[in-house]
Amino acid sequence: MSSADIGRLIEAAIWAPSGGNAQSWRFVVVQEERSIRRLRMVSPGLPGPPPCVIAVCQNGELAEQRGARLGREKLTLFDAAMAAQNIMLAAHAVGLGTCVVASFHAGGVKDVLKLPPGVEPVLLVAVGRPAEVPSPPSRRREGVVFDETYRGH
Amino acid sequence: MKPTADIEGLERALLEVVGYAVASARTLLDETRTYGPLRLLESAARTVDAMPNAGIGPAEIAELKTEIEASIGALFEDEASFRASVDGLIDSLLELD
Repeated sequence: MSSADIGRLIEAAIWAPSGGNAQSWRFVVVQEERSIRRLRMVSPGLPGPPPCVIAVCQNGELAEQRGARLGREKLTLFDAAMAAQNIMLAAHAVGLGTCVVASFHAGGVKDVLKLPPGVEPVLLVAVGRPAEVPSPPSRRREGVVFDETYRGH
Repeated sequence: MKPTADIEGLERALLEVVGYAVASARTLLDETRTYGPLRLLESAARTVDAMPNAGIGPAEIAELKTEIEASIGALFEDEASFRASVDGLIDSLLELD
């Protein structure tokens, strides 16, 4: 992982949409082997070990200051997800692979990353060189997409 | 296989597995039930992974790892395939002892 590549991913992340332009997200780029190992200990969903993990975090207090309750309760999640998506697309564009992870113990991740009170991890994005490109799960439109009005259940 | 090297590495790897299992015990409370078998098999895979570097484990360790990974794959196909795969894995394990 070159620092230029990581810089591109972070640049993509901070240009993601942000509800009310709160930009209450915080990103922690983790590359040290011991830190990655410790993250994996508390994050069952984290594959690997990857050479890099980007923790997408949110400052809930800041989000509430800038976006009230909607900001803290919902926009923090939307913003983190959109930032993570940007990271993954930017990674794909430079030939990297990613895995976005929500299965982790938040307290453990906070300890490993030394997050201050009020800053919570929302998603972890593992980044690395893909050993293989797995075939994607199927997707369907029928019963999922509707014209004008919803039909069915 | 006799112990030859990297006991420190083995300790570290096993500690990681312990952390993984404990963290899973907590996170699984809020996750889909399918993840229970997944986390258990992943714990097994990580334990098996740690053996060769420390010079321990049966000679068939690579095959065992392959079988565990196949069972993990089957978990995401259908339940019948998964049951059959794990049944076969259990047979393989018993043959090692």
